[in-house]
Order: sequence, then C-alpha cells, then structure tokens
Amino acid sequence: MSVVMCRMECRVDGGLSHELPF
Amino acid sequence: MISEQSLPSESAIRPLGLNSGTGPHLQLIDVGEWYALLDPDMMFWALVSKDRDLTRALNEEILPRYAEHAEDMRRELHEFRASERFSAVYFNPTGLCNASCRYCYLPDGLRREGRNMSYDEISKALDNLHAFFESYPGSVMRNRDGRKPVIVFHGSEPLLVKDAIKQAVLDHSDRFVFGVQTNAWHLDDDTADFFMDHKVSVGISLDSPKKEIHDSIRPLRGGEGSMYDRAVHAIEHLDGYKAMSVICTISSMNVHTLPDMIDFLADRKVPSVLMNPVRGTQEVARALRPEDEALIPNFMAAVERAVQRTKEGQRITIADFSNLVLGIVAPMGRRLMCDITPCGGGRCFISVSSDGSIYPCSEFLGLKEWRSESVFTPGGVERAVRSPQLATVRNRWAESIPVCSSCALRNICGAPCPGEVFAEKGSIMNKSPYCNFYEAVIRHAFQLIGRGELPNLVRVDGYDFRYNVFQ
Repeated sequence: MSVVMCRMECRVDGGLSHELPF
Repeated sequence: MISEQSLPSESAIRPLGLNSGTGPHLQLIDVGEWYALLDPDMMFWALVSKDRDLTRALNEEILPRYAEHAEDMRRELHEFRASERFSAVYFNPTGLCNASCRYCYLPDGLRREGRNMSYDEISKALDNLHAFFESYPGSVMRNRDGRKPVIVFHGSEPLLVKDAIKQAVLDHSDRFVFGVQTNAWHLDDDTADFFMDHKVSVGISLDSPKKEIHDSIRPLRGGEGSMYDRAVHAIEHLDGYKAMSVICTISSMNVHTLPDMIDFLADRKVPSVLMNPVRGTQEVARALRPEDEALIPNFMAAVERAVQRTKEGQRITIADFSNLVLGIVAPMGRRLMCDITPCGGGRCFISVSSDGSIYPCSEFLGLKEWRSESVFTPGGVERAVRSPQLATVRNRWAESIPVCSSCALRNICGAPCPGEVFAEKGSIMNKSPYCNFYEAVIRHAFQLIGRGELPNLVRVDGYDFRYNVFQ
C-alpha cells in the first residue's frame, strides 16, 4: 500500500462517555 | 518591459496551493512507515508511504479527493461539534458505596455518608427527564420518533438500591433503555438474569486479571471478602451477554497487566473493555497516574493482543481505542464523547447526583462549583442544561486551548478531561495530562489503519463508505 484514505458515515444518531460500533 | 514568456507560471508561484491562502491546509505527521497528511478542521486525512513520491500522491490522489469532499466534511464536523445532541443520563440513585477505591472521583465522605433516593424520587426524576427528552430541541432521542434515551445507573454503587432499580426498569422501560455500572458485589445471579431478560446493559469494574492487584486497588469498605471474586463470577455468569462490558481503570498499580487482561477477558467472552487512564479529579488519584514509559507500551501491547484475539475468532475491542479509530475514519460515528471538543458533558449527556443535582458529567460530581439545578423540579433539567455550569463545558473548544490549538490531532484526542484539568489546574482550558499518551496512541491507530486492521477495530458493516482508498 502506498496511499490510504478512508471516510465512513454513521447510519445511526447514537452521547456516551468513557449494537456497538466496535 | 517584462515579456509574458519571462513571467513564472501560477503553478510555480503557488505549487499545489498547499498551506497558503485559500488552498488546502494539510499538516504532515510522522506515523511510522507513513506520513499522515491531515486537516483537523474537517478530519480529512491521507496516509502516504514514505517510499512514495509525495508530489505525485498529492496531485493524483489526495488533492482531487480533498477538493471533492472538503467543504461538506468541514460543515459536517462543525455542526457535529457545535450542536446539542442529548441522548443519555448518568444517574446516581445513591451516594453510598461499599467499595473504597483509591482513585474514585467522588470524595470519600460522600461515598461513606451519602443518601439513597427513594423509589418515588427515582420515578419522579425519570418523569422529568422523559419530559425533557420529549420537548427539548437539542434532544436526539424522542419516544415519538421511536427512540429511547439511555439511563445509566451509576455510582457510587447503584446496586445498593437494586430493588428500586429493578422497579424502575419494570415501570419505565417503555420510555428509556437502561444500563448499570457496578463493582458486582451485589450483582447476584438472579439480578444478573433479570438484567439480561430486560436487556439492561451491564458494566463490570475489573482492574486486573490478578486478584491481589484488583482487591488492593478496589477493596471492600469495612468488611471481609474479595471484590475480584464477585466481579469475575458476574462476568462468567453473564457468559458473553452482548450488552456486557468491563471498565478497567489504568493506574500505576495495574498498568503492567493490561495485555494479560485482554486474554483474561477474551477467555470469558467479554465483547468490549474500556481501558481508561485514571482521572486525576481527586488529588489521591493523581498520585496513581501511570508513567508514560509504562502506560504507552502496555496499552499498545493490549491493543495488539485484542486485534490478535479478534483475528483468532474471539472478538474483543478496547472501546476507547476503537473510538479514537472512529474519530479518524468516521468522526460523526464516534459513540464516546470524551475525545472530541466540546465533549459530551452538558451537550450529549448529563449526570444526576443522589441529591437530585444535575452536573455536566459524573467527573464533576465531586466539584461543587459545577452543580446546577435539581432533577426533581419541573423544568429543572432544561434550566440545568441552560445553566452557566453546563454551558461552560459546552464552550470548551480545543482551538482555544494552549498547545491543542495548533495540534493536528486535536479533533481525535479532545484533550480529556475538563473535570480533571479543572480540579488540577483551576481552569478547564488546559490540555490533557495524558497528552503524550494520546499522541502515541493516535499515531498507533493510524498505523493499524494503514495495516488494514480497520475491520478488527470497528464493525465496518454498520457504516457506509464515502470513500475508501487502499492502494
């Protein structure tokens, strides 16, 4: 690989602090 | 007179337009075998291998992509940061705690002599919170839109009033979804089964795979018995429950056990663990901060161990690390709001103390200056949200914090935590005490993305790709 670019968009509007996306 | 032929071309005067005038502003960061080019105002970034011709990469791949998406991405990120997005409440039904953790952000006197809310008080508070979420313009979780806000019973130790919590779940599940964060001492099997039956999320505090370390950091208050034994039993009884998580607070006492902790939890089917460097909101906690020299390599090793276990078929993620990865690849898709400014405190969630007072976040509960209105009074939640205490946290932008203001990573790290830096420095407008740690961890996140590990860190099937260049 010599160039990597990525952008993902969230489908849900889900406000938490320190169906999960992880 | 100068002939036209002797004038330099525009491209010679302004090559690529990069980092001048209205041209693209991309900061260059050294990331192992890569250079990362990054515009933090929109979180546009590209990794370029160090053996690649940078000019060609910019001209052929990076700048055309930037030109296509930059303005939309800038607008989206600003709106995401500037808007109120209330969806959750950290709710302390009791001020008491049966543990005596060395680093707790709550003053010890409160945990020893705090009060319990009655069930009527809990129910009244939930009624008022429901009214707030249904009517407040900055709420993103309205029942009438088919969505439920989250109530997290938090501590102190919420299961000291577990009968009231169970009743609240039974009476209010039509309006809220619930979670409980517990040290597990009072999490008997019947209560755990009740939570699983009612889809209540359960967070267990466990700081080490080694019993003597956990029980030394988080001892039982005024009694005999092992907190570790109860926590591990609860994890094993929950048996891979998908809404289970573990919180591991990193201190100088357990930092060397982080990689082994991943194996310990993966072996017990824990899907996700938060590994949080201890917050120095109380002075006693500051003495327990791990040194960077121990924290950074052990945290990195834990990340690599989690990736390896996931590849082997037992998926486990370090949620705060994965959230940093989301901050890079899907800034608006992040779930935890500690690593962006303004953070989630007073903007996405509030914290309710056991006397009903509303604070920006649990981290502020021991700091009386940040107390606002009461949840028990009609309209109190909205007045709290509009109070100077919560508005001040909402106005903490990294661009106004010394050092952060020029840091390329400012919108991935978020300079956490305002409660912690206020307690230590007297102002929330300071960088994180873990600045070096976040720098190193974010660089590591870029390297993992470059290695193609993204699917092992976040569930990419939950997202749409705007673009995905991997060549």
